[in-house]
This record gives sequence, structure tokens and C-alpha cells, in this order.
Amino acid sequence: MPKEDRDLVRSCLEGNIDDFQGLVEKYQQRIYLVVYGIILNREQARDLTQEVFLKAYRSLGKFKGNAQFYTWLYRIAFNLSLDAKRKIANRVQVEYDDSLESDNHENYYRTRISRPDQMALRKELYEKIIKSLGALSDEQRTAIILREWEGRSYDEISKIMNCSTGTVMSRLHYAREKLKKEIIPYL
Amino acid sequence: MKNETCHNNEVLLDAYYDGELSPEEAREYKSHLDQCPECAQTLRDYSSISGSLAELSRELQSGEGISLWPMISSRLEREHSVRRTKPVTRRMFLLRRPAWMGLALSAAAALILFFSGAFQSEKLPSNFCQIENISSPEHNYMIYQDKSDGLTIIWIME
Repeated sequence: MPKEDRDLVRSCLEGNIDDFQGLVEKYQQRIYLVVYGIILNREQARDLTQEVFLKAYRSLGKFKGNAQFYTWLYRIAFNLSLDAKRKIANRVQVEYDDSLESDNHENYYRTRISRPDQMALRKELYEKIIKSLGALSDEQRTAIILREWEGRSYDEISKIMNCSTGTVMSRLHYAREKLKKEIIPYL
Repeated sequence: MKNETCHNNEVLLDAYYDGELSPEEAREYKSHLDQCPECAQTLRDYSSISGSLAELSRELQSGEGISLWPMISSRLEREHSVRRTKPVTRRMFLLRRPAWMGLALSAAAALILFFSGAFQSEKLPSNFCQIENISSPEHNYMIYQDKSDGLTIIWIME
């Protein structure tokens, strides 16, 4: 565990809530991506990211210093996201993130991609990727996101997902095969 | 065409791509790739997928730079203040009020009235009040004092 994380955790355990800020700001973007990868909805991912940190704070006493702090945090994110997704699935069928159609994103496309036809193609591609991610199993999607977005090793992914590295390899392989079929024709 | 070696080692391709093979295993697999255009193409496809996923990740993070800390800290603060007050509240409800408590409160009220001038012959302003002390371990009290007009309000909560 990087020294900074350990110091911050210790200080939080001594009752200094403000020291948790360093941990939140260090990991919030990465946790958000992992949560988004499972939930595939920006609004819910934002709310759930908060819940991950609140749960982490309440459980800091259970954190064993022999594990990496971020591995422990990702495990909380993974478990909370799966629970939330199951609850959501009981209510509505989430297809893909429609927030990609918000004005905010239109602006983003406009600034990054100047030509309207390129902008439309890019948007179509993003929607396709999100839909393809949504078609993977929760486990395959989490594995691919931890690997591709977080650059986590097989060993780290296996610890976060509580499975063997062989299972991680298999999940990654099938996830990539499915994504290849769905996305490559659009590239 | 993919040969039998490819099918038997499909997962190896991922491990090679992810840099999870030992240097020796990677060297061996590289020699296979040099002879197998199909596996080499799959590797290029993986790379394209990674590129697209990375682009999507950047897109998703745009506009997400705002710190979540203010919201998280205010919720933690609320939880802490609830936790601090909870045991007191519980104790207040658990403790049975002693029989003499009503009498004691009446006496306290009488004292307040007395010092406020109700029983004094000396002319004092109608809102004048002097309290020597308040002590009640089983009851909460709150004092509000407005320095501008000297107004003091005391709440005693049962």
C-alpha cells in the first residue's frame, strides 16, 4: 500500500474525517469508471460512487493493512455495484446510457470532433460500445473494465473479484471475443 | 485459418496482449504470431478495441472532475452528529422520571418567577430576570440570549 494511503487510513481511524478527503479525491474518478462499467448509467454511477466511499469509511476498521487500499476499495465498488444493478434490473431493463444524448455531451463532441458527420459517427460508436458492454455478463464486464480502464493485473483483478486468475483470463477472453464481434465492424 | 494450437491457446493470446506471460512464454508466443496471420489480426483487433474503450473512458470522465468530497463529508458529519446525540437521547427515554422531578421543576419555575420580580417589592423592569444556576442531569436545556436587548429565553425539555 502506498505510504500516503496508509497514513490517511490511520488518521481517519483516529477520527479525522477530513483526512478521508485525500482518499476520495485520489480514487473517485477511477471508482466512478468501475461503477459506471457495471451500472452503465452516469447518474446512478455518480450516486453509487458516493455510496462506495461512505461504505468504505464506515468499514475502515475492517480494512486489513496487508491488502492494497485500492484493491479493498474496488471490492466494495464491485459488490455494491452488482447489488445495485440487480435491484435496478428488478425494476427496469437498462439498455444503455441515454445521458450520452445530453447537451453536455453534444458540446463535448463538438469541441473534440469538428465535422458533424464525424461527430455523429463517434456518438454512434460510443453508443455501440456501451451497448456491447451491457451485453456482457457482469463478471466479464467488470474484468474487462478493470483491465482496460484501470490497467489492473490478472492477480489484482482476481483479488477484487474473488476468483482465480484462470477465471479472470477466461472472462477477459470471452469479453474480448464478444466485443470484437460487435465493435470491430464499426471501426 | 486458425490451427489447433490457436484454439488450444486462445487464452494465451489475451495473456500475451496483457503482458501477463513470462519473457520466455512471450517469446514463444511471438514466434507463433509471426506464423499465424489470424492470431496476429486478433491481436490488432484487441488493440483497436482498447483504443475505443480508452476513448470512451475519456469521454465518460469529461465533466466528472468535480470533487465528491463536499457531499460525502456532509453525510459523514450528519452521521457523526447523530451518533454523538443518540446515546443521550436513548438514556433520556430509558430513565424513568423520578417522582420528585415534577416538584423540583415546579420549584425551579417558582425561583425563576421570584427572581423575575413577581414577588419583589422593588421596582424592576418587567422583563428583568436573574438566574443563579440551572442544573438538571436528566433534562436538556437551551439558553438563548440576545445581547442587543438583553432578552434571554430558557427552554427546559423533559
